[in-house]
Amino acid sequence: MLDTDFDADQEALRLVARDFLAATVPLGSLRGPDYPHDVQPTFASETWRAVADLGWLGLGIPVEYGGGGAGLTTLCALYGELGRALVSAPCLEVAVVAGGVIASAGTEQQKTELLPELCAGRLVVIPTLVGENGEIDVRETVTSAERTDEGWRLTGTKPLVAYAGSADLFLVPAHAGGDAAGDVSMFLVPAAAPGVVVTSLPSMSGVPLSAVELSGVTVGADAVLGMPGRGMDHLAPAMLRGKVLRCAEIAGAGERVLDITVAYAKQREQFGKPIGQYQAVQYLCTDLAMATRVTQLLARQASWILDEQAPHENRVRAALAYGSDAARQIAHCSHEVLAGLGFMVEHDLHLFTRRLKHWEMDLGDAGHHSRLLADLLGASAAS
Amino acid sequence: MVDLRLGYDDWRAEVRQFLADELPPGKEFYLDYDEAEHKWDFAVEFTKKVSEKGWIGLTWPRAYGGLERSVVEQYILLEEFHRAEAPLLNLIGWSLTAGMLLYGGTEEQKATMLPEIASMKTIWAEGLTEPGAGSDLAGLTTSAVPDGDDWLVTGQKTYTTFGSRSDLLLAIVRTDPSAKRRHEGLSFFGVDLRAPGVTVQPLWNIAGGRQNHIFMDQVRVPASRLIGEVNRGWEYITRSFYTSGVPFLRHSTMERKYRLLTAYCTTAKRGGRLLIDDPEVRGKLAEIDIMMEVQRVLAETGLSDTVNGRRSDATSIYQVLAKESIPRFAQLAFEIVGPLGQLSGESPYAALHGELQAWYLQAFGNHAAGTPQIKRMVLATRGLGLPK
Repeated sequence: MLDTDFDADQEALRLVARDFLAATVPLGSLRGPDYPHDVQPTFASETWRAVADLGWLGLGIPVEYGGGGAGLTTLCALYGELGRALVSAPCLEVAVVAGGVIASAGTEQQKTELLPELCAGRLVVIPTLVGENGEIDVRETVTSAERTDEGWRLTGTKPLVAYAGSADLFLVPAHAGGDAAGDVSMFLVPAAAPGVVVTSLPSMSGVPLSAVELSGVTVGADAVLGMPGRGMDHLAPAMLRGKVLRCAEIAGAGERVLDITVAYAKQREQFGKPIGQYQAVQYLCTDLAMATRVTQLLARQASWILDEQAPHENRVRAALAYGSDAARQIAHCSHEVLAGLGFMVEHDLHLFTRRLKHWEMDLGDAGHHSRLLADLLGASAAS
Repeated sequence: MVDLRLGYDDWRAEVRQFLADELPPGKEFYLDYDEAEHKWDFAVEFTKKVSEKGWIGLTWPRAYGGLERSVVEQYILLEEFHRAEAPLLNLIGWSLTAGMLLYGGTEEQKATMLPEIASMKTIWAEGLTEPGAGSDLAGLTTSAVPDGDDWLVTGQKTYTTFGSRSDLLLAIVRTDPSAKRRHEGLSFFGVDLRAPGVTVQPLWNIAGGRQNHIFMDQVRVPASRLIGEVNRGWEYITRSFYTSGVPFLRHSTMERKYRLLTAYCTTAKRGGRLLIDDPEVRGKLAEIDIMMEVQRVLAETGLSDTVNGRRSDATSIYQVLAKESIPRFAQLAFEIVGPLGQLSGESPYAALHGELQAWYLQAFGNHAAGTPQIKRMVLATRGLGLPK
């Protein structure tokens, strides 16, 4: 029986984060320069620096490498607020996924060189995970790495990379040594290396997305992260932790969407009474509230399970499947209540809608996590 | 049981041939969400060709620019047009205005306004919704007061699609402020959108299209533009909104999208196999097919009821299910395609030519002409007789 309430320190962090982000990240800052025709926010460099200076970027990185050494439950308190504020910066991508892989797979030298810079916000390491067909199973990538005399030569395309334009390094999973199937190897590729082409792509997602093409990019032998052919040992746990925090972000954004939706349902009158008096609208509001709250509870429970290394991966997968679908449901319910108003660019709702769609699918959608859950349940039934 | 389609093969072939001749690939995008000038120009040109065939007034009396053909033929025409996602303009003029004129317009209005619609001389925009009156139309506050032989209209309409590109606004306004009940004392006018006192302000929707605020300040409207008789607006709208004779064929527009989606599934691989071979994907495609089938049977039942003069429950059911299916379809398509569906534009990485993200965003416009919740309330109260 788990009490998912934050402890005093976590709650204090959450409140500081909420106040700070409310004061410094107005929703209007998410609107691009040529709004409404340009809906993609750019990298929020000032917020990025502030988050790094406050120690939040490195919060989950070990203390000996410049981080805060906090567990996932504490990160849950922070990421709920980053989600609520729709911060336009790759905190989760860099600090949790890339930082997590480096902390887990890196040599002492790699960790000492990279992690303090990463925590300080000076080194932006962007993971490139989505495969050529939109595949989230990283092992399906067709990006290849050939051995050369000096190191490796990488060729392939990562068609959907968030914040690629801000990257100093890319974390690139690739099949090494002519082995096109099975586990991947991981490489750190400088964004400025010859043969790396980053193409910004228009999208509905509310985050800057790009294709990253690697055309025979050569890197040194020291660019490998972890043992060749054992990438998933480090990447899979980092992605799992990342998606738990995505769900915390979804719940954080959901709380704000709920506030917007309930306030409108109380204020908007049709047929002489507030629309919130109609059960059809009450059902939508309560669906939204339940999806948000349950996502929050499951994310907190999942973070505790991972911190405690408790043998409950099925519960973690259930949380991720539920939270991913909740992202869809939150946006859907709110749009149904706000109707014409929420359909217009001048209202803030679509800023959440876009981001929620990206988060729904980022690091695996509900179907992906449900399939993995089913595998676990099947294995346990068979044993 | 009678197959209403029997005997119309030649007609369907004629419509298909017209579309094959006049609608090149790539022009079929749904126009409400695309403000590119060249697409608008193409749509005007295309709709003019439709009008030259006489097909806008297909079912109207010949005296008013029509061809006096049957509603079954109109259904077939629109089914083919929707299947091709043809960029038809002036649907407000074609359906709502024409329906209202045929029901309640004066003889002079029918003789002048209908031929102008049939020949694409005038494009109409819808002037029902106001900031305070959406689902609750009778809550509207825009008013008209008589001034000599004219009327002076003052108030605001909103969410007006093509407001900046249309000639006339089919505006419902309050003409008798002393009426006892809210839906009494309302009248319809055709307000010239270029008249002094009209201001059109853009209102961009999240799918890239433009709606508009229409502000009217003492806009002078001649009495000849009062549709039918004064203070009968509520009767006109309730008679013509659902019975304008133009069926709502959302499922037919879904057919092209479904074909694009299945074509994608036969070429894209995930997890080492084609999407079309993935049992989960097949289940989702089947759900979409069932969705279209359900709507098809309801639409055809609604048509049969109209042809036979029967009271129809099918149209009310269709309205609910069609509206609820729009976001469901977009979601299923996204679940099938995955994250590359977020990309728009002509990038080689954008799945389905960047259309999927547009479908998803457009789905949030399913409130237009009534939210799904309102449609359920209509079905519950008018359909099932439940108390209001």
